[in-house]
Amino acid sequence: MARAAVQMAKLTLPSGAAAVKAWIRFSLLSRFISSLQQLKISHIKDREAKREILRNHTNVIRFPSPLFWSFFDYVANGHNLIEEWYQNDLSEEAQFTFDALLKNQRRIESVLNWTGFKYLKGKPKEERIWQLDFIADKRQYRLLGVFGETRKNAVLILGCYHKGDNYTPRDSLEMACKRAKALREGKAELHERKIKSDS
Amino acid sequence: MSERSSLILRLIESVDSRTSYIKAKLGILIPSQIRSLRLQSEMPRQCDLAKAAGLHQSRISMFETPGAANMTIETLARLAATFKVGLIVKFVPFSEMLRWENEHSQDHFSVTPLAEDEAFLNPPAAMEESTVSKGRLGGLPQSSVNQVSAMPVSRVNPFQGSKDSPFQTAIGA
Repeated sequence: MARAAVQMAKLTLPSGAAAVKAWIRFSLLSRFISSLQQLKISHIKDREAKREILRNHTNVIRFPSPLFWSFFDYVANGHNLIEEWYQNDLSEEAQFTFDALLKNQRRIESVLNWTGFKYLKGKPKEERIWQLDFIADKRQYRLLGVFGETRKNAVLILGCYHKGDNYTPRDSLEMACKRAKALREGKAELHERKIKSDS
Repeated sequence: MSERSSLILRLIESVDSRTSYIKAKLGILIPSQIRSLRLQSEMPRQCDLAKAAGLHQSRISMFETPGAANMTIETLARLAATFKVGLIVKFVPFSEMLRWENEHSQDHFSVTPLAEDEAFLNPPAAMEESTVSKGRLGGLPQSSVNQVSAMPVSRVNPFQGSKDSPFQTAIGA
Protein backbone atom coordinates (compact mmCIF):
# COMPACT_ATOMS: atom_id res chain seq x y z
CA MET A 1 0.00 0.00 0.00
CA ALA A 2 2.76 2.38 1.05
CA ARG A 3 4.76 1.40 -2.03
CA ALA A 4 1.83 2.16 -4.17
CA ALA A 5 1.46 5.58 -2.55
CA VAL A 6 5.15 6.40 -3.13
CA GLN A 7 4.83 5.31 -6.74
CA MET A 8 1.72 7.43 -7.08
CA ALA A 9 3.63 10.36 -5.55
CA LYS A 10 6.51 9.78 -7.98
CA LEU A 11 4.04 9.66 -10.77
CA THR A 12 2.15 12.78 -9.70
CA LEU A 13 5.24 14.80 -8.63
CA PRO A 14 6.51 15.42 -12.12
CA SER A 15 3.09 16.57 -13.20
CA GLY A 16 2.86 18.76 -10.05
CA ALA A 17 6.32 20.22 -10.74
CA ALA A 18 5.30 20.89 -14.29
CA ALA A 19 2.23 22.66 -13.01
CA VAL A 20 4.37 24.71 -10.63
CA LYS A 21 6.78 25.44 -13.44
CA ALA A 22 3.91 26.37 -15.70
CA TRP A 23 2.48 28.57 -12.99
CA ILE A 24 5.86 30.25 -12.46
CA ARG A 25 6.22 30.74 -16.20
CA PHE A 26 2.72 32.14 -16.39
CA SER A 27 3.25 34.50 -13.45
CA LEU A 28 6.58 35.64 -14.88
CA LEU A 29 5.01 36.17 -18.25
CA SER A 30 2.06 38.05 -16.79
CA ARG A 31 4.42 40.16 -14.70
CA PHE A 32 6.47 40.85 -17.78
CA ILE A 33 3.36 41.79 -19.72
CA SER A 34 2.07 44.00 -16.91
CA SER A 35 5.47 45.66 -16.57
CA LEU A 36 5.44 46.18 -20.30
CA GLN A 37 1.98 47.65 -20.03
CA GLN A 38 3.07 49.84 -17.13
CA LEU A 39 6.08 50.90 -19.09
CA LYS A 40 3.86 51.74 -22.00
CA ILE A 41 1.41 53.61 -19.75
CA SER A 42 4.19 55.48 -18.00
CA HIS A 43 5.69 56.23 -21.38
CA ILE A 44 2.34 57.55 -22.58
CA LYS A 45 1.95 59.49 -19.36
CA ASP A 46 5.42 60.94 -19.75
CA ARG A 47 4.70 61.80 -23.33
CA GLU A 48 1.42 63.47 -22.34
CA ALA A 49 3.15 65.33 -19.54
CA LYS A 50 5.84 66.46 -21.94
CA ARG A 51 3.21 67.54 -24.41
CA GLU A 52 1.42 69.44 -21.65
CA ILE A 53 4.67 71.13 -20.69
CA LEU A 54 5.28 72.06 -24.29
CA ARG A 55 1.71 73.22 -24.67
CA ASN A 56 1.94 75.47 -21.63
CA HIS A 57 5.64 76.11 -21.83
CA THR A 58 5.18 79.63 -20.50
CA ASN A 59 3.90 78.11 -17.26
CA VAL A 60 7.05 76.11 -16.58
CA ILE A 61 8.88 79.04 -15.08
CA ARG A 62 6.45 81.40 -13.55
CA PHE A 63 7.74 84.95 -13.51
CA PRO A 64 5.52 87.49 -11.81
CA SER A 65 3.69 89.41 -14.51
CA PRO A 66 4.30 93.17 -14.32
CA LEU A 67 1.26 95.16 -13.31
CA PHE A 68 1.65 97.74 -16.06
CA TRP A 69 3.05 97.84 -19.56
CA SER A 70 6.37 99.59 -20.06
CA PHE A 71 7.06 101.63 -23.16
CA PHE A 72 10.51 102.08 -24.64
CA ASP A 73 11.73 104.60 -27.21
CA TYR A 74 13.83 103.60 -30.18
CA VAL A 75 17.30 105.11 -29.89
CA ALA A 76 19.75 105.09 -32.83
CA ASN A 77 23.24 106.62 -32.77
CA GLY A 78 22.46 108.26 -29.46
CA HIS A 79 19.31 109.95 -30.81
CA ASN A 80 16.00 109.21 -29.16
CA LEU A 81 13.92 109.35 -32.33
CA ILE A 82 10.58 109.10 -30.54
CA GLU A 83 11.39 111.90 -28.12
CA GLU A 84 12.63 114.05 -31.03
CA TRP A 85 9.36 113.43 -32.87
CA TYR A 86 7.40 114.18 -29.69
CA GLN A 87 9.22 117.46 -29.07
CA ASN A 88 9.51 118.73 -32.64
CA ASP A 89 6.49 117.41 -34.53
CA LEU A 90 3.68 117.22 -32.00
CA SER A 91 1.50 120.13 -31.00
CA GLU A 92 0.80 120.70 -27.32
CA GLU A 93 -2.58 118.97 -27.62
CA ALA A 94 -1.00 116.03 -29.43
CA GLN A 95 1.65 115.74 -26.72
CA PHE A 96 -1.02 115.66 -24.01
CA THR A 97 -3.02 113.10 -25.97
CA PHE A 98 0.06 110.95 -26.61
CA ASP A 99 0.87 110.94 -22.87
CA ALA A 100 -2.71 110.21 -21.85
CA LEU A 101 -2.90 107.42 -24.43
CA LEU A 102 0.20 105.63 -23.12
CA LYS A 103 -0.98 106.15 -19.56
CA ASN A 104 -4.30 104.50 -20.38
CA GLN A 105 -2.85 101.65 -22.47
CA ARG A 106 -0.28 100.58 -19.93
CA ARG A 107 -3.01 99.46 -17.53
CA ILE A 108 -4.80 97.31 -20.11
CA GLU A 109 -3.76 93.66 -19.82
CA SER A 110 -4.51 92.48 -23.35
CA VAL A 111 -3.22 94.52 -26.27
CA LEU A 112 -6.29 93.46 -28.22
CA ASN A 113 -8.25 95.74 -25.89
CA TRP A 114 -5.98 98.70 -26.46
CA THR A 115 -7.94 101.53 -28.02
CA GLY A 116 -6.74 102.40 -31.51
CA PHE A 117 -4.51 99.31 -31.76
CA LYS A 118 -4.04 97.11 -34.83
CA TYR A 119 -1.37 94.98 -36.47
CA LEU A 120 -0.24 96.28 -39.82
CA LYS A 121 -0.60 94.28 -43.01
CA GLY A 122 1.90 93.54 -45.76
CA LYS A 123 5.63 93.78 -45.14
CA PRO A 124 5.32 95.36 -41.67
CA LYS A 125 3.31 92.29 -40.66
CA GLU A 126 6.40 90.13 -41.18
CA GLU A 127 8.20 92.28 -38.63
CA ARG A 128 5.14 92.09 -36.32
CA ILE A 129 4.77 95.85 -36.39
CA TRP A 130 1.63 97.27 -34.84
CA GLN A 131 0.06 100.67 -34.96
CA LEU A 132 -1.61 102.91 -32.39
CA ASP A 133 -3.94 105.56 -33.78
CA PHE A 134 -4.81 108.79 -32.09
CA ILE A 135 -6.31 112.05 -33.18
CA ALA A 136 -5.29 115.47 -31.92
CA ASP A 137 -5.77 118.95 -33.34
CA LYS A 138 -7.73 117.36 -36.21
CA ARG A 139 -4.71 115.34 -37.34
CA GLN A 140 -4.46 111.58 -37.41
CA TYR A 141 -1.28 110.46 -35.72
CA ARG A 142 0.20 106.99 -35.99
CA LEU A 143 2.55 105.40 -33.54
CA LEU A 144 4.32 102.30 -34.83
CA GLY A 145 5.86 99.76 -32.50
CA VAL A 146 6.85 96.18 -31.76
CA PHE A 147 6.61 94.08 -28.64
CA GLY A 148 9.66 93.23 -26.60
CA GLU A 149 10.84 89.75 -25.72
CA THR A 150 9.76 90.01 -22.09
CA ARG A 151 6.17 90.37 -21.02
CA LYS A 152 4.41 93.74 -21.16
CA ASN A 153 7.22 95.55 -22.91
CA ALA A 154 6.46 97.59 -26.00
CA VAL A 155 8.95 99.48 -28.13
CA LEU A 156 7.85 102.62 -29.97
CA ILE A 157 9.84 102.69 -33.17
CA LEU A 158 8.30 105.46 -35.23
CA GLY A 159 5.79 108.29 -35.05
CA CYS A 160 4.08 109.73 -38.10
CA TYR A 161 0.86 111.21 -39.52
CA HIS A 162 -1.69 109.59 -41.73
CA LYS A 163 -4.13 111.06 -44.22
CA GLY A 164 -6.12 109.05 -46.72
CA ASP A 165 -3.81 106.19 -47.61
CA ASN A 166 -0.62 108.16 -47.16
CA TYR A 167 1.79 108.26 -44.30
CA THR A 168 3.92 111.33 -43.62
CA PRO A 169 6.86 110.80 -43.97
CA ARG A 170 6.03 108.67 -47.01
CA ASP A 171 8.58 105.99 -46.23
CA SER A 172 7.29 105.53 -42.67
CA LEU A 173 6.48 101.85 -43.08
CA GLU A 174 9.81 100.99 -44.74
CA MET A 175 11.63 102.93 -42.05
CA ALA A 176 9.66 101.14 -39.35
CA CYS A 177 10.59 97.76 -40.89
CA LYS A 178 14.28 98.73 -40.94
CA ARG A 179 14.12 99.86 -37.34
CA ALA A 180 12.35 96.71 -36.22
CA LYS A 181 15.00 94.64 -37.97
CA ALA A 182 17.79 96.70 -36.43
CA LEU A 183 16.22 96.11 -33.01
CA ARG A 184 16.12 92.36 -33.54
CA GLU A 185 19.73 92.38 -34.65
CA GLY A 186 20.74 94.36 -31.59
CA LYS A 187 21.85 97.35 -33.64
CA ALA A 188 19.61 99.82 -31.84
CA GLU A 189 19.17 100.88 -28.25
CA LEU A 190 16.15 101.44 -26.07
CA HIS A 191 15.24 104.11 -23.61
CA GLU A 192 12.35 103.66 -21.19
CA ARG A 193 9.68 106.28 -21.66
CA LYS A 194 8.37 108.23 -18.71
CA ILE A 195 4.85 109.56 -19.02
CA LYS A 196 5.32 113.33 -18.97
CA SER A 197 2.10 114.53 -17.37
CA ASP A 198 2.12 111.77 -14.79
CA SER A 199 1.57 112.80 -11.20
CA MET B 1 12.59 123.65 -13.57
CA SER B 2 11.11 120.16 -13.59
CA GLU B 3 8.82 119.06 -16.40
CA ARG B 4 5.86 118.92 -14.07
CA SER B 5 6.49 122.44 -12.78
CA SER B 6 6.74 123.73 -16.33
CA LEU B 7 3.49 121.95 -17.20
CA ILE B 8 1.72 123.51 -14.22
CA LEU B 9 3.04 126.95 -15.16
CA ARG B 10 1.76 126.51 -18.71
CA LEU B 11 -1.62 125.38 -17.45
CA ILE B 12 -1.91 128.33 -15.09
CA GLU B 13 -0.89 130.88 -17.69
CA SER B 14 -2.51 129.73 -20.90
CA VAL B 15 -6.13 129.01 -21.63
CA ASP B 16 -5.06 127.16 -24.80
CA SER B 17 -2.87 124.82 -22.76
CA ARG B 18 -5.70 124.12 -20.36
CA THR B 19 -8.07 123.44 -23.25
CA SER B 20 -5.54 121.07 -24.85
CA TYR B 21 -4.98 119.29 -21.54
CA ILE B 22 -8.71 118.80 -20.90
CA LYS B 23 -9.39 117.70 -24.50
CA ALA B 24 -6.52 115.20 -24.32
CA LYS B 25 -7.83 113.57 -21.15
CA LEU B 26 -11.40 113.40 -22.42
CA GLY B 27 -10.17 112.22 -25.79
CA ILE B 28 -8.60 109.17 -24.21
CA LEU B 29 -10.91 108.39 -21.30
CA ILE B 30 -14.23 108.64 -23.15
CA PRO B 31 -13.27 106.23 -25.97
CA SER B 32 -11.77 103.92 -23.37
CA GLN B 33 -15.04 103.84 -21.43
CA ILE B 34 -17.12 103.32 -24.57
CA ARG B 35 -14.93 100.41 -25.65
CA SER B 36 -15.02 98.86 -22.20
CA LEU B 37 -18.82 99.17 -21.94
CA ARG B 38 -19.27 97.74 -25.42
CA LEU B 39 -17.08 94.71 -24.74
CA GLN B 40 -18.97 93.97 -21.52
CA SER B 41 -22.41 94.54 -23.01
CA GLU B 42 -24.70 92.26 -24.98
CA MET B 43 -23.46 94.10 -28.08
CA PRO B 44 -19.74 93.30 -28.16
CA ARG B 45 -19.50 94.08 -31.88
CA GLN B 46 -19.38 97.64 -33.07
CA CYS B 47 -22.08 96.97 -35.66
CA ASP B 48 -24.45 95.63 -32.98
CA LEU B 49 -23.93 98.69 -30.81
CA ALA B 50 -24.37 100.94 -33.83
CA LYS B 51 -27.65 99.23 -34.69
CA ALA B 52 -28.94 99.51 -31.13
CA ALA B 53 -27.95 103.17 -30.89
CA GLY B 54 -29.27 104.02 -34.36
CA LEU B 55 -25.84 105.12 -35.53
CA HIS B 56 -23.46 104.02 -38.26
CA GLN B 57 -20.72 101.51 -37.37
CA SER B 58 -18.04 103.91 -38.63
CA ARG B 59 -19.16 106.44 -36.04
CA ILE B 60 -18.79 103.89 -33.23
CA SER B 61 -15.32 103.13 -34.56
CA MET B 62 -14.59 106.86 -34.55
CA PHE B 63 -15.88 107.27 -30.99
CA GLU B 64 -13.47 104.57 -29.86
CA THR B 65 -10.47 106.16 -31.55
CA PRO B 66 -8.27 107.88 -28.96
CA GLY B 67 -8.44 111.62 -29.24
CA ALA B 68 -11.62 111.68 -31.27
CA ALA B 69 -13.58 113.44 -28.52
CA ASN B 70 -15.61 115.40 -31.01
CA MET B 71 -18.83 114.06 -29.58
CA THR B 72 -21.86 116.07 -28.62
CA ILE B 73 -23.52 115.57 -25.28
CA GLU B 74 -26.53 114.33 -27.22
CA THR B 75 -24.43 111.53 -28.77
CA LEU B 76 -22.97 110.61 -25.39
CA ALA B 77 -26.47 110.55 -23.87
CA ARG B 78 -27.61 108.29 -26.72
CA LEU B 79 -24.74 105.90 -26.11
CA ALA B 80 -25.36 105.93 -22.35
CA ALA B 81 -29.03 105.17 -22.99
CA THR B 82 -28.06 102.29 -25.29
CA PHE B 83 -25.80 100.84 -22.61
CA LYS B 84 -28.62 101.42 -20.07
CA VAL B 85 -26.37 103.47 -17.84
CA GLY B 86 -26.37 107.08 -16.69
CA LEU B 87 -24.04 109.90 -17.67
CA ILE B 88 -22.58 112.73 -15.62
CA VAL B 89 -20.99 115.78 -17.20
CA LYS B 90 -19.71 118.03 -14.45
CA PHE B 91 -17.08 120.68 -13.93
CA VAL B 92 -14.35 119.62 -11.52
CA PRO B 93 -10.96 120.79 -10.24
CA PHE B 94 -7.91 119.69 -12.24
CA SER B 95 -6.88 117.48 -9.32
CA GLU B 96 -10.13 115.53 -9.61
CA MET B 97 -9.62 115.11 -13.32
CA LEU B 98 -6.11 113.80 -12.71
CA ARG B 99 -7.43 111.41 -10.04
CA TRP B 100 -10.07 110.18 -12.47
CA GLU B 101 -7.36 109.53 -15.04
CA ASN B 102 -5.06 107.83 -12.54
CA GLU B 103 -7.81 105.61 -11.18
CA HIS B 104 -9.38 104.71 -14.51
CA SER B 105 -8.73 101.19 -15.67
CA GLN B 106 -10.35 100.04 -18.88
CA ASP B 107 -10.14 96.41 -17.77
CA HIS B 108 -11.94 97.04 -14.50
CA PHE B 109 -14.34 99.73 -15.60
CA SER B 110 -17.91 98.62 -15.10
CA VAL B 111 -21.21 100.39 -14.64
CA THR B 112 -24.31 98.73 -13.25
CA PRO B 113 -27.02 98.76 -15.91
CA LEU B 114 -30.46 100.08 -15.07
CA ALA B 115 -32.11 96.66 -14.68
CA GLU B 116 -29.59 95.68 -11.98
CA ASP B 117 -29.29 99.08 -10.34
CA GLU B 118 -30.88 98.27 -6.97
CA ALA B 119 -30.01 101.66 -5.53
CA PHE B 120 -32.08 103.28 -8.26
CA LEU B 121 -34.88 100.71 -8.50
CA ASN B 122 -35.37 100.35 -4.75
CA PRO B 123 -33.85 103.34 -3.01
CA PRO B 124 -32.77 102.49 0.55
CA ALA B 125 -35.65 103.05 2.98
CA ALA B 126 -33.25 104.46 5.57
CA MET B 127 -32.63 107.49 3.38
CA GLU B 128 -36.33 108.15 3.00
CA GLU B 129 -36.89 107.68 6.73
CA SER B 130 -34.09 110.01 7.70
CA THR B 131 -35.45 112.62 5.30
CA VAL B 132 -38.91 112.19 6.71
CA SER B 133 -37.84 112.30 10.36
CA LYS B 134 -35.46 115.23 9.96
CA GLY B 135 -37.36 117.27 7.44
CA ARG B 136 -41.03 116.90 8.13
CA LEU B 137 -41.39 115.47 11.61
CA GLY B 138 -38.74 117.39 13.46
CA GLY B 139 -40.99 118.42 16.35
CA LEU B 140 -42.96 115.19 16.86
CA PRO B 141 -42.31 112.70 19.69
CA GLN B 142 -40.26 109.60 18.80
CA SER B 143 -43.25 107.24 19.09
CA SER B 144 -45.20 109.11 16.44
CA VAL B 145 -42.12 109.29 14.21
CA ASN B 146 -41.85 105.50 14.41
CA GLN B 147 -45.51 105.08 13.55
CA VAL B 148 -45.24 107.36 10.58
CA SER B 149 -42.00 105.79 9.41
CA ALA B 150 -43.63 102.38 9.38
CA MET B 151 -46.20 103.65 6.91
CA PRO B 152 -45.48 103.58 3.19
CA VAL B 153 -43.54 106.70 2.33
CA SER B 154 -45.92 107.79 -0.42
CA ARG B 155 -48.79 108.03 2.08
CA VAL B 156 -46.93 110.11 4.64
CA ASN B 157 -48.44 113.51 5.05
CA PRO B 158 -48.03 114.70 8.62
CA PHE B 159 -50.26 117.69 8.02
CA GLN B 160 -53.22 115.77 6.62
CA GLY B 161 -56.37 116.46 8.67
CA SER B 162 -54.53 118.78 11.02
CA LYS B 163 -55.80 122.21 11.83
CA ASP B 164 -52.27 123.52 11.50
CA SER B 165 -51.82 122.21 7.99
CA PRO B 166 -49.94 124.78 5.92
CA PHE B 167 -51.87 123.57 2.88
CA GLN B 168 -55.20 124.31 4.53
CA THR B 169 -53.92 127.67 5.65
CA ALA B 170 -52.76 128.40 2.16
CA ILE B 171 -56.07 127.27 0.70
CA GLY B 172 -57.98 129.16 3.36
CA ALA B 173 -56.02 132.31 2.70
